[in-house]
Amino acid sequence: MNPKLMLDPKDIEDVVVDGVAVGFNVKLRIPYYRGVCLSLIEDITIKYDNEVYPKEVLKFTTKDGTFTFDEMATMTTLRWEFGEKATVFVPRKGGFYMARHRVEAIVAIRISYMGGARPVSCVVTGSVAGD
Amino acid sequence: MAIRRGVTFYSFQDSYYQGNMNLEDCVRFVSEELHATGIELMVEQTPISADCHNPTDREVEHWKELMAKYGTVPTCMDAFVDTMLYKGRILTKKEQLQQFERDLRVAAKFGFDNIRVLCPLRAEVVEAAVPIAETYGVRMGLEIHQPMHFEAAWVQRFLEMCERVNSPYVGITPDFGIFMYKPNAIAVKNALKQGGDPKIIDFILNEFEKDSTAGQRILPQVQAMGGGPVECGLVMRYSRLHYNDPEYLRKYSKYLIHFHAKFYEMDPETLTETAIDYENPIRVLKEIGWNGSFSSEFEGQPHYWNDADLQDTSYELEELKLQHKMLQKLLGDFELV
Repeated sequence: MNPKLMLDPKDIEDVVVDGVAVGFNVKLRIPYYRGVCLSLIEDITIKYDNEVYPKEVLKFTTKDGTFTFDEMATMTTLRWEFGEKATVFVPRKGGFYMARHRVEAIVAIRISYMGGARPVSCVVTGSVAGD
Repeated sequence: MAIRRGVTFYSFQDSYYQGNMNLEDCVRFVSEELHATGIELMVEQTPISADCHNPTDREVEHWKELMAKYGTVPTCMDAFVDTMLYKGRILTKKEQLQQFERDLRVAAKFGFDNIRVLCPLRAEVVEAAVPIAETYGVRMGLEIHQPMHFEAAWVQRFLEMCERVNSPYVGITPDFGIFMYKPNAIAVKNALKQGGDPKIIDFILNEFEKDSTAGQRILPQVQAMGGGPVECGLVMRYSRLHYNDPEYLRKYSKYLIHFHAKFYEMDPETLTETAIDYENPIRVLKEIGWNGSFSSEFEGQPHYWNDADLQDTSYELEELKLQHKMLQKLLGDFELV
């Protein structure tokens, strides 16, 4: 699959609680040719300009629920399917302003026959979406 | 004795990923557009059941109805053993065997006669799975995939195991990529488009025409000629190419379980793959009267990605149509109909 399709700029939206943006959601499709169980996700990092949000602060939502990466480390039957959009919550106060900023998603899956994880990155910038 | 034409749904990966085609669309395309009957898939890519490793009886029934509706038959399921299932350690042999047993069980339930075994799986794990495969009636074929080749120690060890075990349930699934002998025409075209020097690219192609393993040695020459990232990139991409003599198919005919008819690009004028030899391997298979299935495996997607229209995935379908015209031509009356 084309890594450019991992993240569609239309799939980023603020998460608003009581009128305040407490973060934003990014929908991701797996950058691999098959789905995998959640324990195989070695790493996900979201960057917002120069701000880095490591997996420890993110939450990952699939059709089966919302999980922390600690929880996912032992999930060997729940899966992120091929083509499925999973939602990653990024706890950034104030949400995001796409028109003037850059969002990067980096996903690394442990692929046994490749000898381990290879990070795949996808960047979207303000030139392709309004705020 | 005859060969069945089929498709592995790996070929439809962009169409499926983008939602342009669903599972039934893929089956329908194989049947109605390609007039082929063999279906191969990985349940982890195009799932047939909600829980891909634990189908319900109803889901199995639905799958069988789908096959009957389009006159298709399941030929091969691609198994994976995720040896890195947990961070920080590799699964033990017993755990790997448990995953393998799971895949054999799923394949049997859905009616797949064969599974493709990933090349890096150790021969001792596959050997230990033989009694399980025999119980389920599902044959296991280790994929022989570039840059692996018949003479590689890894493959030889596996073949020695097959000989020792002597079971019809264990053998090999060669991928036609092992009969690739030079860079694809589209890779060359893209290199020229990116500003590659035509003289250097001609040199590269001539070297590959003389020897499929040229990529291992011509990089210094290409650099000396003034080759930059585009020209060197072309060499590097094919640096592990190794054309296998199709006569190996005769030598190891006893172990041939299934084939992946790997291809990247068809030439619509000549109806040939632009860089993979199909003619000679198929000639050998006809001569030995081999009985089994081919699954087309289109893997040229990255060559066709178009930034101007990311949604367009029609190249997968067009290339499959061309490849099946070639297969029909080469198989002739050796095709199972």
